[in-house]
Amino acid sequence: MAQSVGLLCYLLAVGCPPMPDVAVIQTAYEGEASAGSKLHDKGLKVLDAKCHNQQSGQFLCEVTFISTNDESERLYFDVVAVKRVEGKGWELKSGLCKR
Amino acid sequence: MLIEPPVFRSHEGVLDIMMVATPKLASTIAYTPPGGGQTIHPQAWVFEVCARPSTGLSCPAGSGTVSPYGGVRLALRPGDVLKVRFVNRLPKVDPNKLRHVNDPGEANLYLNPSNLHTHGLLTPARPATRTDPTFGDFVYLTVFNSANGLPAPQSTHQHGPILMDKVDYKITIPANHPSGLFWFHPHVHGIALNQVVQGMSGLITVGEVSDYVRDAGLTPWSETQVRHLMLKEMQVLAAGTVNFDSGPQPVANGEVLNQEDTSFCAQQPASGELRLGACPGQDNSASGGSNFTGGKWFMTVNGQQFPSIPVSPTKGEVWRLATGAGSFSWNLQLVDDKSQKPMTVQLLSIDGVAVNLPQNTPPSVVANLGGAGRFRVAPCKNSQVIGTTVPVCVDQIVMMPSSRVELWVTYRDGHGQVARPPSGASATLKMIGLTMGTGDAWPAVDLAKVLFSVGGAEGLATEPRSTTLTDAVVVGGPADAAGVDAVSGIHATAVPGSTPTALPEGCAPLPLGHRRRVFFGFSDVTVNNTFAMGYEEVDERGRVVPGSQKPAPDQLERFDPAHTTVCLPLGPGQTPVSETWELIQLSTENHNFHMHQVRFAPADSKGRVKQDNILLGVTTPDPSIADRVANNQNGVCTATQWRQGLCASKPVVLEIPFSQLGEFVYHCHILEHEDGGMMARIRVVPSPY
Repeated sequence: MAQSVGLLCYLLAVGCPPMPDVAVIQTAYEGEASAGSKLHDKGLKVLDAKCHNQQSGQFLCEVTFISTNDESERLYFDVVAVKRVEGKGWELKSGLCKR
Repeated sequence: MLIEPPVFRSHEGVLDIMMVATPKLASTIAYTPPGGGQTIHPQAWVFEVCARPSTGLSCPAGSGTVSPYGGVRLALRPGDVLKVRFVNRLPKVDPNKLRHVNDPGEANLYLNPSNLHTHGLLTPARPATRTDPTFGDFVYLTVFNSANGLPAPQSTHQHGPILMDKVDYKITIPANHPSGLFWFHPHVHGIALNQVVQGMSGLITVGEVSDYVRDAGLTPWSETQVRHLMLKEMQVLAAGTVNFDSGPQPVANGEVLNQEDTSFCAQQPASGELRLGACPGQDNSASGGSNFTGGKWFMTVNGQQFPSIPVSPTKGEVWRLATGAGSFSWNLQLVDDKSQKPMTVQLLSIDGVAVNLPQNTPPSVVANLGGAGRFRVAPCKNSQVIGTTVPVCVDQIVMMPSSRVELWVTYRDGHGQVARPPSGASATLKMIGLTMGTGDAWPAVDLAKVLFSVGGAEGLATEPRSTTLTDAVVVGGPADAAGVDAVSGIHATAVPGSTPTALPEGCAPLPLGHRRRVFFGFSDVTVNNTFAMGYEEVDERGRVVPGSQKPAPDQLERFDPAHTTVCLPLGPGQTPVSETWELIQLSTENHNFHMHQVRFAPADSKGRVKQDNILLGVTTPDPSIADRVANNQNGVCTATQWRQGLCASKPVVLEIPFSQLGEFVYHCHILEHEDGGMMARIRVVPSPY
């Protein structure tokens, strides 16, 4: 259900939650990665997100994620910028990268 | 009198604590501003330590919580598990007073991120996983204090995992870990110097001294005759203006200069000047530097300025010496106050591993113990060879950043013989000054007064007064420098938890006869302080392996955590693998090689000592280019000049056994250089067999 909401928001800018969450970030990431964005590493799955409003529609989100092809399920932790774009839903403004 | 650091001991195999990085006034340092006025205790950054509370990120008030500037000691045993909840409550830093805030990817340094490194422990550098969300000794993670704001995402040179406020570490000490002295400190690239200098460090011990030291009657050495000494230093300013990379900045009375200026004090005292635990700031404005007049550079032992140390007149003491300095190197002598001559002490352990020197050890190996320049070896009078290890004595000790050394200190007469001290016998532990090639000139300061009193309390605890003179000690144990390589030693046994795994891209064993060559220099010799490292693989005939040079042929690179310079697998059966590394100095300033997760041996020491840092000599430019190197290249040769034979540099060749998995680093442990970029990433992975 959460994934559907995220997809609707990403594709149609409809039903977007006021604050990004795991579903929003995962959907935005997958959309951008599949569109060829060079910002992100491939094959990532977001497990947790805690977002903070930075004003002007921009949020900084503490994100925990794994790489889907990693059997050991190593945890990655990062802070990514997520922005609500009018008519477009959410966009990641910084890279989701394994480091 | 010198006070021992507070101790947190493991219980039933576990030590579970919380460590909060926090500002705190250093109550043991008293600074009086120029013109008199109220005494100021400078603000240090310390580890506040307590047993881990069931909830929350604060240590409870009460005697179970300690936060001394001099640091604490974590007392562990082989086989223990150290669990630490690390919390960052450090304040923001003025970015104008930070050197590296404008380096690539370092814009968040002013938020004062921190972490923890258990220096010297042979444990995996393990990241967190879903099944075990704790970290091992993984120095890439950074913990930010949320009160300072969130870090802005960077597009390059990102350090590693970013966590807010806290992280959980779980460090497992192998059952065959050597007993000895280690330490902990933060390790965030770009701000490590600042945090260490401002006070963030402490001691770790594994096992007991009695595991490797006995008296001449082979009785295990009593812990009541063991003393822990942590040397720290801190520059405290008088109000005025100090030059930073950003330009002149105002500073207040009692402010700590954590970016450190190595010319803060004159190197040697003026005639008649007494320097008891501190030296006065000097005016460098005539040469374009800052005016430190009115300031003081404090050099402390366990946070105390010039303490007295009573030493048992009949048994002596084992001193376990560590340095919590950032860039500062100590040149130590214990000087007899009556004769003004350096006293001899017996060397027991280097960097946490007891020495093992068989009777057939060549004199040249003894003379260069720990690498050239680390010790001045002296005759070990009236010492006996009991057991397998030849006693070794020294009368001068250079401790570069991160070094540890353990010594048997007892009264010796003018001939160096162990003797009963005359009434009032005393000595001064001195830092006699040290110049690092064309680089830093560290000042001379008296550190402590040692009392070999015949009256007074004996040792550290009240015990029946012994009248028998101990005139020798015996060094050696199952995990000494020989034991770690023996059949059941940590360098020989299969690595726990490692299973056959396909090699990741870029990881390969070093072919037989090949060696790894590492360069220490600048990425751009025309730009000062561009500390960097280069790498290449060399075959059995001394030829560079094509394609192996990183970042490129004859290039050096400042640290980028996104680049893994070396990736190697364990040996078949998940056994430790040993490699030969050759270190090439391109600088006319000394550096200090350190690698995490290992204990190495100079190739010519035949493994009789094991260490985790080694002093690198300096390069000598040919007269034809000497002026150019000095005046146009900031005292640093290029790799090309070295290859052309224009810069003579004696390689330091090491045998390095890799027995721990993980992602870690090797670097110069002069933290100014490490923060400046003299560091590289290394990864050890399981064998595919």
